[in-house]
Amino acid sequence: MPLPPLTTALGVKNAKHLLRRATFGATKAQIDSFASLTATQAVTQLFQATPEPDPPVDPANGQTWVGPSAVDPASEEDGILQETFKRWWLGLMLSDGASIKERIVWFLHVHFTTIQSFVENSRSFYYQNALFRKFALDGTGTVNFKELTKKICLDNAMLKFLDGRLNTKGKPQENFARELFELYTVGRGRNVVQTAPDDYVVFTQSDIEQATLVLTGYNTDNTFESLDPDTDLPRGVVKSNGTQHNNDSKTFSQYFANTTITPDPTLLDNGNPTEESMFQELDDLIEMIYASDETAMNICRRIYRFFCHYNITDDIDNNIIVNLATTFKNSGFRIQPVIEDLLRSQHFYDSVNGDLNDDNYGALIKSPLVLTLGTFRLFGINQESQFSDFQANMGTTISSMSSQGIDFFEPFEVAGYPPYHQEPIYNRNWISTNRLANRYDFINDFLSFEMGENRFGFSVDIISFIESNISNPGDISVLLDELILYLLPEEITTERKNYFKFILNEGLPDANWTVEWNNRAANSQEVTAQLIKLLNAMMQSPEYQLF
Amino acid sequence: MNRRKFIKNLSAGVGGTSLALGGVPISLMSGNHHFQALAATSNTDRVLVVLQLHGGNDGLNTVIPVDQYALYYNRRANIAIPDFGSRKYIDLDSTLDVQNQVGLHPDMIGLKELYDRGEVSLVQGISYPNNNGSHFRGRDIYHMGGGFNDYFGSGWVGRYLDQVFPNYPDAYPNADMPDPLALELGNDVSLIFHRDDNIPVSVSIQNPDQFFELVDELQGFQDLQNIDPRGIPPTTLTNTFYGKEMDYLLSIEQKSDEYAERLKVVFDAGSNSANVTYPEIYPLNAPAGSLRNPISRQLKLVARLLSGGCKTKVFLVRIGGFDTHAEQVESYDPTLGVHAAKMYHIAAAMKAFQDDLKGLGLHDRVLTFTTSEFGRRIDSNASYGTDHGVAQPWFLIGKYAMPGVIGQNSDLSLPGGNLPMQYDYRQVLTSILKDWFQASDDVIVNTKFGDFINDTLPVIATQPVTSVDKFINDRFRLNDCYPNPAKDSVTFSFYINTAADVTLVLKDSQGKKLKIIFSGKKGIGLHEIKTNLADLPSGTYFYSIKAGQLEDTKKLMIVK
Repeated sequence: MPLPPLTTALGVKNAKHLLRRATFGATKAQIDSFASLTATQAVTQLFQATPEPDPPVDPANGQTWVGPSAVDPASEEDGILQETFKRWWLGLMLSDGASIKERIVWFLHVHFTTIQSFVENSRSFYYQNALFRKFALDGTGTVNFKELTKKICLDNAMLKFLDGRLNTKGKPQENFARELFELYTVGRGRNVVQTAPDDYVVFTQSDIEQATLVLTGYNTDNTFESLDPDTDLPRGVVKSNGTQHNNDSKTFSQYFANTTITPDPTLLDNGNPTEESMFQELDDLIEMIYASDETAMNICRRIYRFFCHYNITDDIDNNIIVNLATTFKNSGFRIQPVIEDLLRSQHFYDSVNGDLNDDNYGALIKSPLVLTLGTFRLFGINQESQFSDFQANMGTTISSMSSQGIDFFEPFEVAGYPPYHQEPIYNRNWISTNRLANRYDFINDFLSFEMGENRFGFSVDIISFIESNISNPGDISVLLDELILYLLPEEITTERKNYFKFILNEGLPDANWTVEWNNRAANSQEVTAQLIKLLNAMMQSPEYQLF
Repeated sequence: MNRRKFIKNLSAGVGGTSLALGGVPISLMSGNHHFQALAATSNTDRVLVVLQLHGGNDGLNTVIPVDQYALYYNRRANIAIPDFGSRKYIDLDSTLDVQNQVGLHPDMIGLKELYDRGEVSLVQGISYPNNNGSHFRGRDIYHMGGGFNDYFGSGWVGRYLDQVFPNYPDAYPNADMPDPLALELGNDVSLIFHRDDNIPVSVSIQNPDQFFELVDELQGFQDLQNIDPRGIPPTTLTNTFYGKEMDYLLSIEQKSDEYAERLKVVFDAGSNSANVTYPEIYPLNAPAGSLRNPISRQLKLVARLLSGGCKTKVFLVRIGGFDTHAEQVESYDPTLGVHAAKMYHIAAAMKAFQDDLKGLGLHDRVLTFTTSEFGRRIDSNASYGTDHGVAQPWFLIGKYAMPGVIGQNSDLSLPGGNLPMQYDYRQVLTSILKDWFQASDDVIVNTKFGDFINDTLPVIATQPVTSVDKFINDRFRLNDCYPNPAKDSVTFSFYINTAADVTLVLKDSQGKKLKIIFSGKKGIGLHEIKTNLADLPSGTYFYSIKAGQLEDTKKLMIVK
């Protein structure tokens, strides 16, 4: 059943909440434009289809090495192309406006994660990313998350990442099958009580072993010429004409209704497996896994944690997640209806009017990705052309994010980036003493334009930023109130506001600021310096870490 | 840097104005209470280092079951460590019962040396009932200190240190405990250090110097006299999700500010032993990404901070990459590759760390143990790797580790691919709390290890000098020669637990060398050498041996 929606116009507070959770950050103009919409109108706008991006180009020859118009790369090291791919992807996150698409692509990467150093193939990375992009907006019903799960089983990056290519009849290898259950589909259940070894209550060790057999006999396709007919994207291939596939029947536990998966005799070749019979088994496996209600619950918990809040109480599990899971199942396992329902709901904003304690405003700690890209976007930096050397500048950005606590495309473990899954504190994992200091340092670097540009390769005209975003900057109270409103997620105390005021105006009477502002020379260095001090104070703050 | 006078929990109901209370010295607020608690919960200067092997270590290629070698080989022929040749496993201890006989990976020479010095306790077959083969759940369980059905919001170190240092974080740092209660080397904050619904007891840090400079220069850490309310939210928001995250961030910010300065002080005051070199590169063949030793720098930093006066109780050091489903070994040589490099990194770095601690006079204050989220399967797979398994071996390393091997080699002929549990990991942790930190039963119960108080294991020596001496003497000794006094001939005998170049010489009463009785290589075991004395007159003589770590001299009388 759909969640009760928020019916009023959003207003600034809800608009910034929605835009920050559903995109990589918003400008004041975008927030203001969303403020007049209802939640339903706003969500519709977020999900509008966007054109497919052009593929990345090899810096050595300016031509792409992936996709239909690929030419052989000129760069000698694939490592260069891998970095180029990552920077291209960050560019998409920066530029995609008030759309949810890149945020969902990121969600899919967070869910079906990969680790660069395990795979080390720029083509695999690009095609996996393209796969996510095809499945990100599944509102029209032609694609869905269950089908994506099937595709990911044969994805070249995944076959390498979790050793699926090494899983053979003679020596089955469980790496992928285990994570297929535990991470990608049924999950680990919620507070399950295990009563026997190898019985994980939502699946069993035996299920892993049987699924491993279903998945025997595939290999990566290093030519990337074998295309999936549904997606037109490269996929893995059957190894040695199916001779490495276990062709026995596979029987699963009571958690999957004791299902038996048997090769379809009509698809066999003299009793031997064929590509068709193997694909059919794979299809049966994923259908079986999605028949378990635990799968829908797990996927919806992942979505809830990603967009709303990490702490899923019994109440939320029983009343919110269960309904989202029903929406998920009823829609044919599409995630867009689930995300739309959540983002439209009263619950997503202010669950019970009048009671602040279950409000979701500012309740999550920004990932370094959101902190970094969101800051760029807030200041209107969202196009490659605004950077002095986009490739190098994105390299610097990736390195800064690493010090803040995310190794972009290189999560420490196969489950992905810990804040998205690590109990009990989830997104608090983004913060440690070291990381908090490096987040503040990022703001410091962002606002250091002494060399003509900051270390990320651009400059921001702070005075014109204030002129175009603040209604009456000469009034220090208006200036502070509006900056607080658009930079920070929640209200602050009068004392805190006075602190910011002191930073800007150094304890002088308010009228002093008015004079300073009104009499400023164009590009006044003094006024710019004061404003940068203020922005540093407001953004090197605990409040700015939250969204 | 300005220390902010921020008292977090006093702000409830008062909002930002709680700064008015800021003049009260924080340490006085917990004063005596703190001393009493400390006495009951901890031996004050002892330190624990947790060395986490991330990914699930393959125990069977770390500790090879010598008495079942044929079965071991059959079940993992493509990755088995050989029992012959120059890359044979290292025989750990020939004095053990046959079912305890183990070999170490050939790249663990450093650990063997520590064992022979009496500084290593090896516990086999560690797990918990109903082991969950998940990396993530498995690690959570080991970190939280629970069982397979537990979902604690806190870690066992967090619960323990919460009792030793009550009222964290508000009452800290103070004069008695100026340092972080725990330190995680790197960026993360692991569940092991978490406390229910509050900031963890640990601080994470990579480089104290850089960290101090960073915090010192950032505007976000500076305050202005009398006008800085620190960002404490309005009281209406105190109990919101936002308010709780703000509380968390503010506490971390506060601790960053306070501990950055202190850690720099102890870092600058500290040093490492001049004559100890920590290993950097694995000297043999492994993929490039595995060559560099990732823990040397971390262990070196721990030693330096301790030598500078750091009172931190628990350190976490992490080495990743143990999830060796594929290419655990090189296809052409099962003794080389990713896992071999990691075995070397651990053994060589721990040897350097122990030597460093010894040189710094900290040898008796530090205990290290290794842990992983699970062991791996008995059978290898075709990818030269191993899948997730159950039981694993742990090493406890330190001057007070009770030397020896606890637990037997599991019966590899039994069906099933997993090594069974012999000991619950909480038995070892309870032993550490009880015998290393000397925690009271109450504290152990509150750490949620009450069920294990009566099942501790002898992994910590209470009187290290005598027990270690006996341990070493059983394994490295020059026996009394016989007969003594002798006339025409005498038989010398000695025992060594590691193959060595042996020199046995006879000297006169002035210490002048008269003859070399034996010079050459000898293997593990008891050796006897009979020597003719016909050419030597009556008198007092000495015989001296040098054989690896064994150096000893005894007296021989010749009476014609």
